[in-house]
Amino acid sequence: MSRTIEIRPGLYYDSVTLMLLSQNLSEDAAVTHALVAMGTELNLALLTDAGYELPDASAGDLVIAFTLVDGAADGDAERVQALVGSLLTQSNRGNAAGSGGTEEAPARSVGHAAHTHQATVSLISVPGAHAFTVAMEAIEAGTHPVVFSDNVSIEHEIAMKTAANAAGLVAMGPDCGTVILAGAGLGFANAVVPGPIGLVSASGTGAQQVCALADQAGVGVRHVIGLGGRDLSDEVGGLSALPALRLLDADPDVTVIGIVAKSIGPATAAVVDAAIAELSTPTVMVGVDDLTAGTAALLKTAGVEPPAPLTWAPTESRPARAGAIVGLYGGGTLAAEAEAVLAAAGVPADHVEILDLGDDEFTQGRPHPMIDARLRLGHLATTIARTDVGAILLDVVLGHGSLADPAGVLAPTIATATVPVHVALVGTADDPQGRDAQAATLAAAGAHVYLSNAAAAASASAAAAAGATA
Amino acid sequence: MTDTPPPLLAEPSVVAAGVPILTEALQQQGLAVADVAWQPPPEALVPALDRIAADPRRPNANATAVTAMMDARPQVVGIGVASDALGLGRRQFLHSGPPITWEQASGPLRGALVGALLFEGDATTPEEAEAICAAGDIELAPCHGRAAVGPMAGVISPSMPLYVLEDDATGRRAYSSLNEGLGKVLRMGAYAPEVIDRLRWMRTTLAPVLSDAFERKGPVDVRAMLAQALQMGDEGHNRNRAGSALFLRDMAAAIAETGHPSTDIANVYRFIDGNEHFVLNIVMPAAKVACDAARNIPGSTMVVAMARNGTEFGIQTSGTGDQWFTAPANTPKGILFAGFTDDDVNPDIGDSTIMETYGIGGFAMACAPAIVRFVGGSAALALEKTRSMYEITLAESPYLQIAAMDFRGSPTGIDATRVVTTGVLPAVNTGMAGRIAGTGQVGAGLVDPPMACFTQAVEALGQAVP
Repeated sequence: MSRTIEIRPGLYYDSVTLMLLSQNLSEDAAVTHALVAMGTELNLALLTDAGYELPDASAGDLVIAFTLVDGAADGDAERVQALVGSLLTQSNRGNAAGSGGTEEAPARSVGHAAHTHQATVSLISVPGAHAFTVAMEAIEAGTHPVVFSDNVSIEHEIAMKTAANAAGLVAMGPDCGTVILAGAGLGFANAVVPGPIGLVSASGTGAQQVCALADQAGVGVRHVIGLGGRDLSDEVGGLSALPALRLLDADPDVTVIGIVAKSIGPATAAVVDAAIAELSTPTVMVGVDDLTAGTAALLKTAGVEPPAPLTWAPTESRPARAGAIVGLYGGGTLAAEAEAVLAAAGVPADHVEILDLGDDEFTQGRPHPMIDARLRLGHLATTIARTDVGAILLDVVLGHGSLADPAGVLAPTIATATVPVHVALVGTADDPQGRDAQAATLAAAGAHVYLSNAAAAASASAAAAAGATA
Repeated sequence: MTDTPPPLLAEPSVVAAGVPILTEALQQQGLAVADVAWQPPPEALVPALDRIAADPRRPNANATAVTAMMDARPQVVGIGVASDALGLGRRQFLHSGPPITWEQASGPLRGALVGALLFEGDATTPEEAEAICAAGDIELAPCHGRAAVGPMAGVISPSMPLYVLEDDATGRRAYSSLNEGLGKVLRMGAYAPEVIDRLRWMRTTLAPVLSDAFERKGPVDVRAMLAQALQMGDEGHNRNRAGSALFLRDMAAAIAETGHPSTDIANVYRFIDGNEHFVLNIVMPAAKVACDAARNIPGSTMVVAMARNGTEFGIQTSGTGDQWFTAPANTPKGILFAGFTDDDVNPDIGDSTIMETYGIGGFAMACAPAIVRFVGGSAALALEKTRSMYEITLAESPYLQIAAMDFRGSPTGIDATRVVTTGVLPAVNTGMAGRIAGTGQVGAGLVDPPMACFTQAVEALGQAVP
């Protein structure tokens, strides 16, 4: 095996671009391992583990490392290096520095771009360590910041939200995955027909579940104001939730408001209750323990009888087997909901293993599983190989920003499973991936597919119970 | 700083920084999205940048600083002498840039000091002058510390005549020597007899004529003159043809009426006519008095001085008082006069970067496309340079406008934090001095300030946040 490692000092690319590039490189027949990444501690440790000898590199340097297969042809190393060069060039869209052309060079800062383009919203997905300064710049430029980045301290979250409120703006995030404004989706957002529902949401995938279920009922979600998971804690005290509720209340097109909350601090709960009492629009709490039940209550308040959530049966059913229920989730809220549903169904905790692969511990230095499937595919293959597993639970979240064909990526691996696989397919009819086509792909691979995550979890518990008594 | 906040619950116009997939998702929906070519600042600066970003004083402090700088109304009020105006005693000399010793000084500064000793009569030969300097029998201090600025070596000696500038808005004053012209001149480090003779003529003839003319005419509004010159093809630093012509036109009658012998007056006209940079030494102290109006505002990250001493480039910011942040000066690139090569060029030198600090010079390159020929560039490059300066500045001057950009205000008020976060360095146009003492000017071109000045300033600004 021949290993090549090269440092390009001061050359920056975002982690998602680099992960996808590494994946492309790994697919080359002459390559057994490839990592093109910024020289963060984590990435350097990965390279050491993979047996590379590390030259000096820091987080600001691009590291290109690849290992060729035994018996690689002469010239393969040069060819792969050239491939890296061309892949980097292709992804260089936004990095072209102006050099005398008449085209205006892209802005280097959010503040400058916001000013030049008279922007109203800044969508910030830079690495978490830098998100605070960029968000403050967005606020000073008079835009509402949507901070998609995670790994931002709570002190910075409070400072950012306080500054936004003082400027009459609403700061969304950090770790805000989903925002919808008058039907326009930012981050991970489903295609919605703008209707009467306005959501304030501490959970991105939670809001997406509401969008999906409401869509099936023919009721549109008009706005989702994302908060980030900590806004309703007593440390942050609803700094964004409170102005968001007032804005939704003032929108005449919004006739029902939903609050999707993971957990609310007791002091904040009192403040939110007092704020709700002041609103003229009926407001419903949508608990994440059962988003489907919460959405049903929301729909009833909107005057619509909720339909039974859609399901798609597998083309071929697998027998139930006694064993643990393993959930491999991309959406943290959906993972927590599955745990809650399984606990409510009486499944013993030691029979339940739910992993939230979108959690900070998995996303440090790598993209979210909703935009890079590899981490989850690895876990899925490992789980399928286990004999102590009775059922597998997965979520597939559709919409703008998500993978182009998540069902297609998962299906070949799902097809190798010998136990029932239950998939929560969170999407709307108009989502770019095609909800029904995605469902068909999953069902053809042997999965039970549900529009409702709670229904998926309940079915998994039923299947596991059946296996245990069989 | 912001106006009415934009509505949140409407179709957004989005700026996106970070993951391209999210930008693409917006584009797929047909939404207006401006993608930012965001680059991470150095990891080590993140704590300082965070502290600065969180400093509640900063937005107002920067607004106050840049407004004070733009609103200054610099006027030439007369001619003074350095010994009186700046309190310079025998063998005390001011120089451009941050503080420096004779030992650290580059060729042009050493040459200018030798010439100044000859001019002052403190030495009769260059060798004697050098010996005095080497023995430590001179005192050196930066012009910037005495409300003065000097182009290139910027040496001001006690008997030199000075322009006296006054800010109508604050009453603050600033000073600069009189410009000697091009080629072999003291400010470029030349000290041949012709250089000293010219300085003597400036002291005995030019200065008295101008002094009497200013007295007859009254104050000259420099900002108004600069505004006109920018629309006539100047950028106020490396191209001053229009400004010099405007100055001469404005002063001509008053000069003629001073009652000095007509041969002296004719020689003054000839001298001004022969020096397209004549007005540089008036616009520089005008910019200086404006920048000084923005000093010492706690929490402000605005740059109030950029200056080079031929060895180091230094900057000062409003929020950090008189502290200099220095790094080795780069060597300018551009067009060399016949007979010189790149090896003859001294590292960057002079206080004239006060023009860029003030928001013109390299920042207003779009006004002066002729300048880009120094680097073989196109007129589009001039526009691009100016456009990129809006990335790192706090305001657009309502007074100094760029005709080629539909009279957009010049990018004004460098924010040190934005230099660091965007990686965009201030664009500087400059003259080039010969490396060897006594050579004089060897060309003109463009130069990059060292990023290290700005990273140090950001560290200090971060520490200064309470």
